[in-house]
Amino acid sequence: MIEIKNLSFAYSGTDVLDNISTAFEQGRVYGLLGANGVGKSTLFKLLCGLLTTKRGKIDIDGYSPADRHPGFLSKIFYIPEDFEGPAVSIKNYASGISSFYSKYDENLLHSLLNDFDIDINRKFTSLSLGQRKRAILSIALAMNTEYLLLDEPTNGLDIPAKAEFRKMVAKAMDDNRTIIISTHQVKDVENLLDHIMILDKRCVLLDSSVADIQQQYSFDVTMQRPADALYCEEGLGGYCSISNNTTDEESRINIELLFNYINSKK
Amino acid sequence: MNEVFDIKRLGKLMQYEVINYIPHYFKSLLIFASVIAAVWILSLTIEEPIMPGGRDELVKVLFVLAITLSPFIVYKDMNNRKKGYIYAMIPASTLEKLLSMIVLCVVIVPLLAYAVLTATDLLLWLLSKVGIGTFLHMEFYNPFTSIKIVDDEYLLPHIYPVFDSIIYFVNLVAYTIMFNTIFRKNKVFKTILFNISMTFAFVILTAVIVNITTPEFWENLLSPFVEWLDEKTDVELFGYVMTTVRCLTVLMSMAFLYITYFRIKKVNY
Repeated sequence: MIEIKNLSFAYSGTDVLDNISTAFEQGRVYGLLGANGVGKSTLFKLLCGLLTTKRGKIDIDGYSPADRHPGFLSKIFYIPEDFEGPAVSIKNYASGISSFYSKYDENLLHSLLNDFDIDINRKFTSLSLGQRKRAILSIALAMNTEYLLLDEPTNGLDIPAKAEFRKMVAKAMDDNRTIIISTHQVKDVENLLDHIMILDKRCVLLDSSVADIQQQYSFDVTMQRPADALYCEEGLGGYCSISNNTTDEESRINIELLFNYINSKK
Repeated sequence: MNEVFDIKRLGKLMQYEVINYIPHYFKSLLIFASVIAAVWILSLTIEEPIMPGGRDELVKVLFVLAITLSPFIVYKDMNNRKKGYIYAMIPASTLEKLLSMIVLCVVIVPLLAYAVLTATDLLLWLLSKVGIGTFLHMEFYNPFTSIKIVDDEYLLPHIYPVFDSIIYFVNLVAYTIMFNTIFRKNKVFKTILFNISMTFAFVILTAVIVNITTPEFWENLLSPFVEWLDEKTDVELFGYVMTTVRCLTVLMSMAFLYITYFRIKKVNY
């Protein structure tokens, strides 16, 4: 479990995260949303130990990420938004790194690369951004780490690859794994998420399971603007609205709308 | 799990680094080898055979360059803000990462550089025995023990030059390893600039000290040692100087590696 208490971080005087407290439980797929510059990538780097906390505490299964202990590093895999990759083949990189991860599944890697139509013998440097992302996603999933942090994983992926990505993540999920996906492309991942967290510089604006959100709110598309709507946006197909759920019926969450509603309230 | 050191984990890390970093370094070595080939082509053009001594010097210079630059090539991206996270997130401890870095740069890279450079020379010799003189047998490379006491019967025990070579060599590599972890971009240029700046600072400082002190000051300062120095033979003094230099070199290497350790541990991405 990841526990964050009163976390603050600043880049040379500019506050990025200020007194954030939250937790990520095991067995869930989290969607980490937030406007540009609120510190989603920074939070990922702090969770991986790539940045050192200025104030506050991060605890991941008893480890402090900034210590970069091997026991901790073997539990976590992080893919940044602009993954470039080492100057070697996918095969060499995967075989070199795999020995550190006890749950590495070589067959899974081959199967994932095959599904993504990527040749294992190709070098990362010879691949396009989308292909590099597919390759590293395959490696990340095959390492079977307990925590998987994906920063904008669908950026650069074409439409079939996005569908394949959703399928793979859904297949890879189990009760011992936590996947945190930071994205602006919410439509690409909305069916995957079972928990949504909306981040702001000063606080966590929303930290709820999809089930709780569905229980609390109702999402509708109507031709007329609903009178009882908490938030409403006019679109080509009519009015997309959020209202309080009074019927106990679950509706499909419109994450973009939810994000805009939550942000409008702050 | 031992979070500080595990021999198996160190082995895995070294294996990872050899697979992932050495092929890239090998390509750089081919550039160094191409210099030998270029000189060979030049010798054919001007019909002036390059003597084995000249080739030996050329190979030595390229060898020193290849090993001095090796940390900048092998671990180029280790602290890069975009690419460096791959290195930082390898599940090995800081100590293991440092040790692997030392083994690669002090043992594996020099052996590879030696093999590639001498093999190039051998290949060219086989291609044109006339063009570049006789086959070069490179003797044990020992660039740091050239201090000799003229007209003195004193001989250094055979082990000493080898030992000295090793400690000076490790010192040189530790120095470049440290700068590779300190600078993120233009590492070679910044390292050279730093060295030039330090040399200037040292010269200016020495000049200032010489200017503000009098010969009497130095006489008073050194007078307790003069008698002691007079009692010693040149050989004994040489021994003291060498021992002091060796100790300082080892201490400096340890300091460089200590800084490197904390840079690896604390570098932010």
